[in-house]
Amino acid sequence: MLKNFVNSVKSIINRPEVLIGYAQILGKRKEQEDSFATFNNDFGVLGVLADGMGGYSNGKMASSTVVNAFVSEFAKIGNPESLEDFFINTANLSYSKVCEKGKGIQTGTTLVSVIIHDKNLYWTSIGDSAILLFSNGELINLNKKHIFQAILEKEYVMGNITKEEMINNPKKKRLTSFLGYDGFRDIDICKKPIQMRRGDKVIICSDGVYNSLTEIELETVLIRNNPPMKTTAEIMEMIETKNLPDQDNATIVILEKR
Amino acid sequence: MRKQSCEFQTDFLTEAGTLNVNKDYFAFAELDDFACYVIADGLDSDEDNESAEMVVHHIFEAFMEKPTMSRRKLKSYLMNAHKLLKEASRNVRLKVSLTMLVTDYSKIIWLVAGNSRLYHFRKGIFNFRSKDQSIAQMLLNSRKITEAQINSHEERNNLNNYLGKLNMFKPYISRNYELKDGDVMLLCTAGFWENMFDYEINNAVHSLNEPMELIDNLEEMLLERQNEVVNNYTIAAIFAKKVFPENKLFNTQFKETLKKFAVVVLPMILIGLIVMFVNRKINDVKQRELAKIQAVKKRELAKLSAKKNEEQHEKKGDQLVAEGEFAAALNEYKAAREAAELLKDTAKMDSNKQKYEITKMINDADGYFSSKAYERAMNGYLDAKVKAAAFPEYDKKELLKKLAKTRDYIKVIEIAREGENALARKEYTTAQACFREALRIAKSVYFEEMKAELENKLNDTDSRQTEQAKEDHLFKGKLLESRGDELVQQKRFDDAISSYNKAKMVYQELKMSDSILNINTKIKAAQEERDKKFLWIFPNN
Repeated sequence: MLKNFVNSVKSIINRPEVLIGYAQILGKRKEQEDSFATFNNDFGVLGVLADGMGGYSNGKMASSTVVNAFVSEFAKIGNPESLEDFFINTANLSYSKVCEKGKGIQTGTTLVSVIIHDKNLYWTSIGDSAILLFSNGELINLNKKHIFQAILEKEYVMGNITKEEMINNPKKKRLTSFLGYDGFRDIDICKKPIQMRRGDKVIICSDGVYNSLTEIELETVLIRNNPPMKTTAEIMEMIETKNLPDQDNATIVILEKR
Repeated sequence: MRKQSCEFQTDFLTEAGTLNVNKDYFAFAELDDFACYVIADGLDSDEDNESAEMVVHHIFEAFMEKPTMSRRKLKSYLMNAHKLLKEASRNVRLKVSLTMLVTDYSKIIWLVAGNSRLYHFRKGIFNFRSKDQSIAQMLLNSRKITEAQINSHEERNNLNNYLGKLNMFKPYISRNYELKDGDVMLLCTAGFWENMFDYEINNAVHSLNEPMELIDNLEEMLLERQNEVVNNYTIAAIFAKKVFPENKLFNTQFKETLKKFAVVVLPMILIGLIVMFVNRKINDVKQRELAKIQAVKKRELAKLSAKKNEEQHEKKGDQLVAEGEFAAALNEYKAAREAAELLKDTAKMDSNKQKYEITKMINDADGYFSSKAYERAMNGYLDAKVKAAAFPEYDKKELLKKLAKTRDYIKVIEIAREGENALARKEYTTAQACFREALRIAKSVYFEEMKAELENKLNDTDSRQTEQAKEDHLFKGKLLESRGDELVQQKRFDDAISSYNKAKMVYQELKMSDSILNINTKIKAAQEERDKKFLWIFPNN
């Protein structure tokens, strides 16, 4: 009796600081090229997601290499001076590993990674996967996507191309930065950590999620305030019911601050 | 036609900055009596919807239909636009920061949702600016940052309110603010003010007298900075060179006096009303209390009188029962029961009810008795006897007496009936015995009616019996006579004569002289015949 009570008290005290939910679907593709992982240690919680490309098993190889590199580096993180360095170093490390394993094959992967340390959220992003923050009923996009459209927009503002050329460019969704054979041109790292409040959710997902669902649709699921595991399942269900003809691999990870 | 009596000049500028689309929107309308200026900044990334334009159009539609300075109505225009924006959010959540300025050419009122701003200058000097609904403004309000820092603070665009917000949308609405000749108002989006210091704007306003000049100047200052990124920016300048002259007398002196008067008199009236109200309430309460007490007293009194009533009636009923006046007692018991009902005294109610029933039974039985329905009377008495066992008020002996009397009466009637039956069968002795027994009982219980009847019947029986005896005798005589006749036929004259003689004795007893004469003749004739016979045997004698 007393033991049960003590155990229940202990479980309340040791309740996880962060609740985790994740889900993944194959879509209409033959291969699952997305990889993801979450990792929890004394320092905090890591979430990492990579969307590989290159066809056949190369995409999967690239994405899982990056995810593994992040997990193993985070496992021995200790007390770093700045997480910015951690992100850059680990990105470089995983880049070289991908190149090594790829042996000259044209392959690559996007990367989004978040770390919740105390109440602070840190993030980094390469490519077009998304990091979103759902706080107080509002969905906020945290990262910029490294796609050709961004360059086109600049060109348009400079007056080098017309608006039509900008809008109708077929390559506008092309990645301009990714971890792969070509070296990564751009890496986005949060300038300042974001203070997370109880109930705030950080969402990382591949483009297979945000291209299939609108922001409002995501919002309607998130606002129900279900546990993350249920939320991710509901989101995937929503995508599957849409049954889009060209559904990409879709992966989502949600970390909820308690 | 207020507009004709004043001079307002307005100009504006809106640019995309270094971005590829301009999501800012500005519109204004200067009508005859009112003017409205709305500046909006689309915050979302939706490519299909021009959220700011949509909102401004919606507000103008409402305003043009019903121009007003009513805070409530203006707020409703804004709320409706907000609702529209929420409903139009299909792909991404549409968000708009908006500032709305409304004037009747002598006063202004402004509404803010988000961080688009209104600057107000008087005599070329900064007077006030509208407060943002942002985190930076909150920091400023709690004095964590200074006024000079807010324009470039990193939380300046972190809004806690905007049109399209999912919940808790609450715009700011100002009070009326009186305009003066020469006032300048500047409306601008965050894309403009985030690159400026307020003093710079102030300097520009101070030195320039035309809105377009001012706007050009401000834009130049903005672009001079050569920032790599310039957000969408919009500036609108409104110069109130001459405001509408309100009735000064009314507006100033009279208004002041009215104000003073109101300040003094209104509270007095209010206090008076409150005092009256409270007084009335107190009186009401008092009266209600009094009424309550009176009602209680009345109820108590009614109870008391009812109890007394009940007791009286019951006592009277008991007394009447003792005197044998059952019919009168019935009414008393009924009254007693009704009184007990008022009192809700169930025990009394029950006892009175039972007494009523018993008395009724006895009374009814008495009625049956007097109407000669003795059987029913007896049943009634029996029932009453059983029920009355628990009530000492009833004289059991009297009841028993009544019962015995009834039983005896019944007995008398039964025996008399038996006698009648016997009489019908002509069993006169049995009938006589019955009648005699009945008569004896009737006499003992003073059943006078039956007594007389029985005596008559007895006499009747006696007479019928003697008659019968006579008849029997006659019949015997006749029988003997006819027997004699038969014997004569058979020529047994001696036997015939003896039979005739017997018959003659009977007739003599019955004193029937005709029959005697007749029989004498028959005897003589029989004797003569007999003698003839002897002659035939002995012809010589």
